[in-house]
Amino acid sequence: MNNRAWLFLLPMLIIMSLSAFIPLMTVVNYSLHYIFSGSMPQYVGLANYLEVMRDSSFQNALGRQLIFSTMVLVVQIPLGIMIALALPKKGTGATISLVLLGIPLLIPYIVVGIVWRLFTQSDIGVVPKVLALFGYAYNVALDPIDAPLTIFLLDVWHWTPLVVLLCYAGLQSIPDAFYQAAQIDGASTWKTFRYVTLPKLRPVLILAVLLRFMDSFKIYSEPLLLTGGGPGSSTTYLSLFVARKAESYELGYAGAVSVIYLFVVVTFSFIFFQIMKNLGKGEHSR
Amino acid sequence: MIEWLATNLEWMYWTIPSGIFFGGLFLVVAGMGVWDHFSPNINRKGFFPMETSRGDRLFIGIISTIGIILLWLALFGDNFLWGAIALSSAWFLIEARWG
Repeated sequence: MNNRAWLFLLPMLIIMSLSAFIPLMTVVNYSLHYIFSGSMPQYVGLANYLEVMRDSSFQNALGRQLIFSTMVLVVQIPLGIMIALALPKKGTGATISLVLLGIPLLIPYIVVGIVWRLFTQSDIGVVPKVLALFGYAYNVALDPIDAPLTIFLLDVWHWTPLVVLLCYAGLQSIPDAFYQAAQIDGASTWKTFRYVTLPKLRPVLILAVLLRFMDSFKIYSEPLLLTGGGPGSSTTYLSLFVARKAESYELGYAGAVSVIYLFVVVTFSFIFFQIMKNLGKGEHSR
Repeated sequence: MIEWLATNLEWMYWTIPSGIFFGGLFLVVAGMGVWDHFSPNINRKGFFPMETSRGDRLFIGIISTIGIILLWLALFGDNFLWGAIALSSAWFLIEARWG
């Protein structure tokens, strides 16, 4: 790389330093201290990490988060592919479908939380009233199963359209010649999907899986507004857990949780990326 | 220079261990860049189920080291932490050489 190219990289490196590296280094430094507002920070080494790793409330929040993120991937990715396959390929129908699918993505997180709270509130919400007609006593504020399930459905409603749009764009870029060749070979619908569509969608699916996994780990506003992390701690996911600790001025502890949080996201993202990148490699050589 | 940094970066609560950690990390990444310039990387297939570059193996080594130390803390507390460091160093060397 020549020297001029380095000059072009410089602004990005400065922005990255200010927005990512310095905050990260500060959080790591915080995590090594006992910090309480108003008093001098005291260096405690790995004591915060020890406390976090042995804290059952952290383990529960992490477990809850992993279950949530796994469910997000298991449901949203296949559902997104199916909807994208079912959408009209061209014409007014395609335009209308894409606009409708884009609407949930345009709504801010806070508004989504408030809208779903109004829909699901036990006294005035439409969801409890409709479910009561079928004999189900739905209560998002008190039932530890209804609450996480509602947050999950909210996320599916809010973010599956992103997967659909990505897959739709990926499908549009597959040349018709591949499908014509499959048809001439007498491939069934399933085999065409398995050996033509899915491999061609791989780059888009890598992006969708990584985006949805990382985003699902950041879920914060929706549980905060809808359930406040409850009932009990059934919807206290990692972001909410960290925020609660930081709000209670346990900054060293919150720093340690943040570093572990980052570690988990980076590790799983790397694993997913490698799996998706290598999936199906070498099949053409059979 | 060092005095200026110490005064103006006081709010970051730097400590010697974290300084060594980040300094080391920066030097390793810079060193990998220089190494790659003089001897370009060739991906290879070791005992990992995929082809890896030098950078991949370094990344896996760092992540595994953090993971081993965190697991050690969860299982054994901060007793014999040198054990965790020895274990992670051994794993780092193995995966860097044969991974």
